[in-house]
Amino acid sequence: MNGGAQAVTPRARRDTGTWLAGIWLALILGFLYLPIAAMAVMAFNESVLYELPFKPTTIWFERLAENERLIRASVNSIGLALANTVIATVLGTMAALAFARYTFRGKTLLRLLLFPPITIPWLIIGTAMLVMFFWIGIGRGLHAMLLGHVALSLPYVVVVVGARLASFGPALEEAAATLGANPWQTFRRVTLPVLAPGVVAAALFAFAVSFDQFVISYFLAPPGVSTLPVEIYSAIRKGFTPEVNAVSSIIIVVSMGVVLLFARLYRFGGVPSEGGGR
Amino acid sequence: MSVVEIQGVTKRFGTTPALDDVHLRIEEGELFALLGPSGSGKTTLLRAIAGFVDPEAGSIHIDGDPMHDLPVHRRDIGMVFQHYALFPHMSVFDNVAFGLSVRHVARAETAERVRAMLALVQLDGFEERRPGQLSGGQQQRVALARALVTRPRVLLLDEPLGALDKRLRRQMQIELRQIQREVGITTVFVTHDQEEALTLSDRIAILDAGRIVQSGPPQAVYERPRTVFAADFLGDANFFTGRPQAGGRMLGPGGKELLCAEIPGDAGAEVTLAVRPEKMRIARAGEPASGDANHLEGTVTGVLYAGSTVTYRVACGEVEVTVLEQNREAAPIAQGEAVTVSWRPDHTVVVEP
Amino acid sequence: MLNPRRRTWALLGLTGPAYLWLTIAVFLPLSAMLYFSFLTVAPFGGREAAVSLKHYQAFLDRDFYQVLTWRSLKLGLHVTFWCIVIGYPAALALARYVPGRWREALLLMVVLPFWSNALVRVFSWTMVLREGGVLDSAVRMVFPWLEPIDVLFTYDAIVIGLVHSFLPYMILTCYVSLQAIDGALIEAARTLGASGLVVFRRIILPLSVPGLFAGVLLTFVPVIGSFMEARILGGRAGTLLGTVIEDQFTVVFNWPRGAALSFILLAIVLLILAAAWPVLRRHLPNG
Repeated sequence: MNGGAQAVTPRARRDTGTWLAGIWLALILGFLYLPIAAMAVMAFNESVLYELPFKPTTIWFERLAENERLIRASVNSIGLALANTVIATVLGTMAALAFARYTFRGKTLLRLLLFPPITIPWLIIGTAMLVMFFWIGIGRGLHAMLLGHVALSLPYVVVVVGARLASFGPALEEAAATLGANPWQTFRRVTLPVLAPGVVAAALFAFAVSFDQFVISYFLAPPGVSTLPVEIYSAIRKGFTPEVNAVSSIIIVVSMGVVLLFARLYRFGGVPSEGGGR
Repeated sequence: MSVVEIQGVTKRFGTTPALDDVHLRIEEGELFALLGPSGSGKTTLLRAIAGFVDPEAGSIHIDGDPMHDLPVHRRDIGMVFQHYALFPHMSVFDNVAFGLSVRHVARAETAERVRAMLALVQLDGFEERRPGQLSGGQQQRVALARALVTRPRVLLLDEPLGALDKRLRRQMQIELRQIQREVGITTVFVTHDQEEALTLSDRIAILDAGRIVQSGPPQAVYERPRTVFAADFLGDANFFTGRPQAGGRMLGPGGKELLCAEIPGDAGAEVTLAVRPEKMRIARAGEPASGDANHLEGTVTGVLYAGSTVTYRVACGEVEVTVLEQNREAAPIAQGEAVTVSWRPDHTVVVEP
Repeated sequence: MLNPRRRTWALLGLTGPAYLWLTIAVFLPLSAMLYFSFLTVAPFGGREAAVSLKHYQAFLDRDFYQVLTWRSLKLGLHVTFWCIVIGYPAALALARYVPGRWREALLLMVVLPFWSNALVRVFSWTMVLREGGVLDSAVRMVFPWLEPIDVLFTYDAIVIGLVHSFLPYMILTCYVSLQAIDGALIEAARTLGASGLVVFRRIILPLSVPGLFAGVLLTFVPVIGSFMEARILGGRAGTLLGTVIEDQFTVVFNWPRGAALSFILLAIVLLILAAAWPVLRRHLPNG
């Protein structure tokens, strides 16, 4: 390198840019993670009033194990999310297949109808569900929450699976047909395996939508039945305790862990890289 | 009109040298082609002239002005990109006017110059179209107009015709040459298409592994390649390797003597001779041969019929030669026939391995 | 390939279940709520309900509701503003300045919180903003003579919590449209004489507008309908249109009033979406 003479070249300026970018992103990551970290740390602090100095303890986690309401709410949440994942993934994938492989009248309208559930604020949808379900006798409860969660997850599944379907086009299926496969064999042995990463991504999405869902569950939860977010919300409103920190920390660690694992397996966005570039 | 001088330019990506001590002088108004396989450094050299690549050593001057401290936007160059890089959110007019507007040229003058430039590339009336509404050839012309409208000192073309189909390519080659002559701008242009380089340029440089193997006018480089690589990359060639004899002779395949005035007299190391396929003549054994001084007997092992020409593969002892003939015979020679291949000594070139 | 009748059945079979579900869980409830908003009282427990406009009239008559609506809109603007100011440069940094091997990891780090529970993340801010919390302790460690800092239960706390919630969306949508910009366009602009600033203003910014726009919608619309964040971080300062609607359903049990207010909120959302439609349409997924 004969560096000295070229100190002010574009490269030097690019380096400055990279540095500034790094600092800015570091600040943002700090902003995003600082409160979460503070919450997790306080879950290990002995004081009920979050007072310092910090005295380490695991008592709040031990309390969780004895808290039957929270345990029941967790079981509800997980069961609900699993049921939601299965139903929303199956129904959404079917709809996505119809969109990707058929042209028909009203397709644009059907596509548009996917938008209300994700664009209308949950507050409105949640209260509307409450009114309707109460009115026609479906009532509140886990079944009502499932109705709501699936409806909110469906659009995401259709979009994610649809993107995957759009990425490979009908040529593979046509090839299978020329080789003598009937429609079901084609679907089982060609479409589904290629589609799998998209379906897995969509399923994860659906699980997360349900597991994180607070607003809908909140309006549809009758007294005595709740999910984890609803239970945490009522605990917060009654006054914070480190127990809330403990359960929240567990949720954060588990959900981030799942996403990180998933990202490792599938690269970012749920679609394995297939080279190409632009 | 400008002169581009490149002296000792070196650039490494990681440990592999992309440019290795490149010296080049591109004259005023000249259309200069950088030719080479992918990875030869031709694009890196073009990007170094543009300012996208900082050389680690060496210098680049345009009209005697050193470039190394000058960022891209102050170098006063015009560049046409491989996929044109037209701004998709701007009309054709705004695309062409972009360079003028960043230079704060008055509106009336801008309009006039843009229109004149669009007329030059035969796109009058397309001002309000978007790039997405244009065919590949039209996009190419817009890109050219955009690069020329600022009257840059040097025009750089990065495989400008690579994305076009063959017919359109031919037509654009002719137009490009015309426009370049008309504007009289010094032009450097990167291509991997040897035919394009031969038909378009005033001079050619052949690059390999970051080095310039040979440069000169197309005819000189084609007729007198200096290395095996140059001979092989620019056109096709038959090579014969053997021990030189006294008096411009070499022992070729099957102990046949081949004549070439360039062969050095001292009987030292082996030499390689190159002969272009179209310089060779072929005749059925027993029929009168051309009478050229160099000739080999062999058997036809392959016939490639291409309409106006016929290409023969002929096995002459342990070497196989390629002969390109005009399709003049009533019937092409068939595979398996015994033939004589002949050529003139002055069509034979000594090349470095 | 398929004959028309089988085709119709295939289509119905594939799309039917999903849309039936959406109808029962989303579209019918919205219609039911629209109907309720025109009733005097909820028709439960033998009460007689009559059709009337009185709940919409109440919105017009009482300044209270209009002030709250305005507050919610202002909150939406504030949060969106900060998300753009913080998020767009971050997206630009990720897309154009961070070297490739770091980019993916950083992007994942940025969107990771968005995959974890929203409620929990809002709650976590109480640890930072309260008196004796992280912010207070940190500031007073450096400047011990300052008054205690207690941001919790203020308007600012709501803004901070919501920016934290929606920033990943903004960064992600902006990043997607920024990294889709062909690098050759920027190089072309440079060879034509544009400086870095001009390149940004005339090439990068206009080409990333769709992403910015999507980010604005994804932030503004949910924020004006938010209530949980305001309850946890805003306390008394956290009364918004959203919290009032929540009260109508969970505390006051005046469902028709709540329904009318919900529809006014929905009307605002629809107006915004309608205004955004020309831009949106050009960027719908899969055409």
